[in-house]
Amino acid sequence: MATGDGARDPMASAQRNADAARARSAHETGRAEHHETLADDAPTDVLRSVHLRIAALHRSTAACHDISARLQSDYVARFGKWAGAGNTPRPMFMTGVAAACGTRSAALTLVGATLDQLALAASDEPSRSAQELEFLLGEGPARDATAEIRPVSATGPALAERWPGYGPAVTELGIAEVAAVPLSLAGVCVGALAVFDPAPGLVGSGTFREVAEALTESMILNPDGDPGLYGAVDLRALVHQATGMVSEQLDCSVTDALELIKAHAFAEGVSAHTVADRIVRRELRLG
Amino acid sequence: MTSMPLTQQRLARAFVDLARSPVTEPSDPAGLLASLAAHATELLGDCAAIVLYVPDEHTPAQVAGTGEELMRLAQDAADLSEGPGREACRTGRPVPDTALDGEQARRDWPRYTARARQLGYGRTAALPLHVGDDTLGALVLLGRGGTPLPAELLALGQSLTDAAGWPLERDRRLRETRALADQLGQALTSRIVIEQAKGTLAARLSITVDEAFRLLRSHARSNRRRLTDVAREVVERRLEVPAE
Repeated sequence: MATGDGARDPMASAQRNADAARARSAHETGRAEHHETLADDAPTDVLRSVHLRIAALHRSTAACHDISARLQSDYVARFGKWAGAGNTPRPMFMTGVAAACGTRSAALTLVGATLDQLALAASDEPSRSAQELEFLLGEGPARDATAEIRPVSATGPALAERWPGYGPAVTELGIAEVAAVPLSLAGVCVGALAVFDPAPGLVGSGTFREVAEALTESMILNPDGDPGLYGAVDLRALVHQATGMVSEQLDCSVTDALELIKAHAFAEGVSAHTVADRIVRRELRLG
Repeated sequence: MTSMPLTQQRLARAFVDLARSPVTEPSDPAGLLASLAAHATELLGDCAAIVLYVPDEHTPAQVAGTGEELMRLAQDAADLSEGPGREACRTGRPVPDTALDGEQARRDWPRYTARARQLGYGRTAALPLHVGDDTLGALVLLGRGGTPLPAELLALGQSLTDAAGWPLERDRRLRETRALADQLGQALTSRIVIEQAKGTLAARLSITVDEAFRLLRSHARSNRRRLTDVAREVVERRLEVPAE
């Protein structure tokens, strides 16, 4: 990611972000307490309720920063353990995000103005595969959560009813339940956080939404944050290189070229990355 | 507080005005300030109220008040950079009830004091308008005659001002959030266009993507252009980047 230096020294960066999130939380709590005092002293019910409302908003922002601080501290701890251990895979920030949501499988997508996925970060193979299906088919929970700026979920047969392409395909991956919440702040939506086969009770609980808010407020849309999530966010560089190639070879737009690659990948039952890799190696020529 | 013509209904209306703007749309600060001034005047008994708002050093001070004379006084005070409002704004602390014919007022705000006394005011106080961690303005109260402004009136004024600071803070955060979201979208889109251009150029010149990237970068450097702009033109076939 061009934004943030978290990919270079994730541990130091996460430690710094954890400290900053804790300081912001304490600050918001102080602001909440101030308005609670004003509410106590308010001469009328209306003024009291206005101050209580402002206090509640500060408290909810404080809670966001607390969650964020915990996610970062957890990542620092896992990273520290890993650095001391040896040949285990490098810890991923998204693993902690998934755990905070009560699942192993969580994926975060960042979108542009057209709602097309620009980047993704996934906690494990199933969530990556599910997100890949959304990318290939242009439909699914993350896209809907982003477009509608509200939570989306579906289970079992409802998957295919809601998404005729994505539903059956994600069911074939062995996933029975999907849910997504928008990454939005102050009416601006930059993507979605999706979970797959979450623990019972997560969807509809405040936790899932709070984790998404914490990531948005503290990491993605924060001048001190790291929208690259410490190198976890993948831009699909190879797919876009292949897109450029196909567009030149077939004299078509990059939009059409990307659609061709996606269609080819879906038809072959492989990822866009796999197809792109073959195109860039000149082992495959579309059209 | 029985001496004040304070009704639930009036307060309710004040805060409906203050909190009306939806969270997703920036409110109009001028309207917010005007309604703060109007409602403070209405709520705080015989006091006149002026709101001073200085969003940043590059923006002229905005004032709101009820009545032409008061507005002129407020504007002149802002232009002269003097008076209780400026002081509360600068220090971030309230200016307590002060006699306008007293030594301190005449010394600290000579021009302001004369003007306010001509309009018949004898007492003043100012309450800072906090927006987040900053003080971006003040609510100035002016009382007729020599009776000191009661402490509970100042407390109510501050409570009202603190409530008014919140929509202003929310607006500021909304603007920052939008700017950050735009930056993020642009950063991602730029990176993607550069990857596409590597592929386009690699296919066009039958070279590897790494070689294509070196060509793009050196073309951008030697023509003093942004890599993203060069990449976009390559992808849109508006620019030929020659092989080395």
